[in-house]
Amino acid sequence: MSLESVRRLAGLSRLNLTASEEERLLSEFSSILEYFKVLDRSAGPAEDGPTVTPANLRRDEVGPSDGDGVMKGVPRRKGRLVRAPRVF
Amino acid sequence: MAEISPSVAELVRRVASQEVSCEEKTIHRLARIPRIDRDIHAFLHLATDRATKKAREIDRRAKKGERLGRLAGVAIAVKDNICVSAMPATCGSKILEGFVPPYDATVIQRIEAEDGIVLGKTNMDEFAMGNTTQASAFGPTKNPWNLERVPGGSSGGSAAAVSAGMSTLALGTDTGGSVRCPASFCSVLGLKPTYGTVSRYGVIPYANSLEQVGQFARRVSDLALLYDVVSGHDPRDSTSVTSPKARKSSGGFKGKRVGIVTEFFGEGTKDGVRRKVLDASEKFREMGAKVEETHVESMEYALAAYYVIAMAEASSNLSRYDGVRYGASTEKGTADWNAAFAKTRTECFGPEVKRRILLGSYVLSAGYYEAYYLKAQSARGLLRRAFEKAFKSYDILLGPTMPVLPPRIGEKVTPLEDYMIDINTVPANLVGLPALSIPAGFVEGLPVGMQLMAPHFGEHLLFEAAQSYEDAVGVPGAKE
Repeated sequence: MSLESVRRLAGLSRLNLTASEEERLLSEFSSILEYFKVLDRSAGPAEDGPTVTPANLRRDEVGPSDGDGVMKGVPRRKGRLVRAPRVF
Repeated sequence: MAEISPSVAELVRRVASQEVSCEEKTIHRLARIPRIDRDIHAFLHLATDRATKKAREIDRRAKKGERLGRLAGVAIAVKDNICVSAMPATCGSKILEGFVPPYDATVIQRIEAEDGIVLGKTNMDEFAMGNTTQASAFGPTKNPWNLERVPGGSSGGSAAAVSAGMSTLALGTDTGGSVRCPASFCSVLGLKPTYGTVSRYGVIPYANSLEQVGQFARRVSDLALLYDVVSGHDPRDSTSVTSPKARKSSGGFKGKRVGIVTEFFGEGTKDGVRRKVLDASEKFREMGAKVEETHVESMEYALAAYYVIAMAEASSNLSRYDGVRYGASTEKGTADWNAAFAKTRTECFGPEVKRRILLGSYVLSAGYYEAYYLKAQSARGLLRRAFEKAFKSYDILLGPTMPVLPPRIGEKVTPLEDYMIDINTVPANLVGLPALSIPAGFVEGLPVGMQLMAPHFGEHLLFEAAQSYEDAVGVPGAKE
């Protein structure tokens, strides 16, 4: 990993890092990724999920919901509208 | 050490027969907690009004001779990543400061349907990422047995609340050991159930393929009862299973096959911990179980596979926090879209959360996906087969829950050194197995936990083993 990739990941993750944070993270990540190399020795078939449990999907039906309760938690709003940062 | 408190069944009987007033008992408890918690800091929020209101309702129904639930009047502390309506749910993070969910998690609905009393919300490592509760944005929780030590994490507040006698029962979540680690460090019982047995509806996610809601108690019968109340299929959680609940314990442990897993006693294991757990395992032999040493293959991959998968899932899950729809926002409405998100996320996420988001994005990115994420999933498959093989020969697999004693608060370690102590707890999450930490005694005045693992849906085997052990050594006391 390089400082360049730490910066690229921070951009993708919407996190601002100071120069000293970038340096510190690069050194921490390098030792963690070095440890992850133990996985190179494993050679099993790939699989997802921890058990053989199939996903148990419910019917896609609209149920009651508490719209007012949800709106109460919005940090910035205008009446029933959510105020978001400008896109342009 | 205080006297051993009565079992939940006995507490419920006293409330139902009106020997005690549930309201008085609850008010007394709520008044006592701040005095104890001044030193420990297990709670982030006390639900005084909701708890006393529920207690009053229970007394009223007891008076009328109505049938009460199986948890009538019993105090339950809830980890702060589980939603309870009209109570804050911070997840130990500044980014959810001010967030008050408008609904109850399924586990909370089930507890209240059985007349349990939700006492309040407990401290945790931010977004459940940690094993010490020091990564909480609201300050660390202290270990009731030694205030200079950590209580473990990430459900450190819940474990400490039960350990210090502030709550009878507690709920936590376990993604890589977050129930079993603090149970071990605080000398209480902590169960991580089989993946899919307990609904995660209303639980703030960190790594969905790994985590389960777990339970804390001091008595095995109480733990089994709480598990029975909260488990079962929930159509609102697509990963919850429809298969029948775990069978009831048959009682007795004679003739059961117990495997002491050599790999659980790796080089990082403290001598005192090793000795204590081996001594405790002798009890099973004395009870007539067949106890022998065994190996589980592929364990060397578990920790790396766990962290790759957990970080990948975390980076995806935590992308939802943008300060627009709920939670905190530090942006005043002038910046553009990306700058606004970045400002809030940078100022509100702590260092460990940022570390996992960044590395999680890395292991999922083009060119590295095959090198890390896919290999971690293959290792997970190998580990699943290794445990399936081991459980053909054993009913229970055993080892230390944590290889070390509770670390000192503020002790400086690198992130990798910190991850290393999860080495014995992560396999159960990767494979979806049930695992239970039970108190195994003390070394240098600090608690040691023994981890028991069983096959999928083998919770009854864990309760059976733990009950036999409790019958032999007694109920662990609270540190009050």
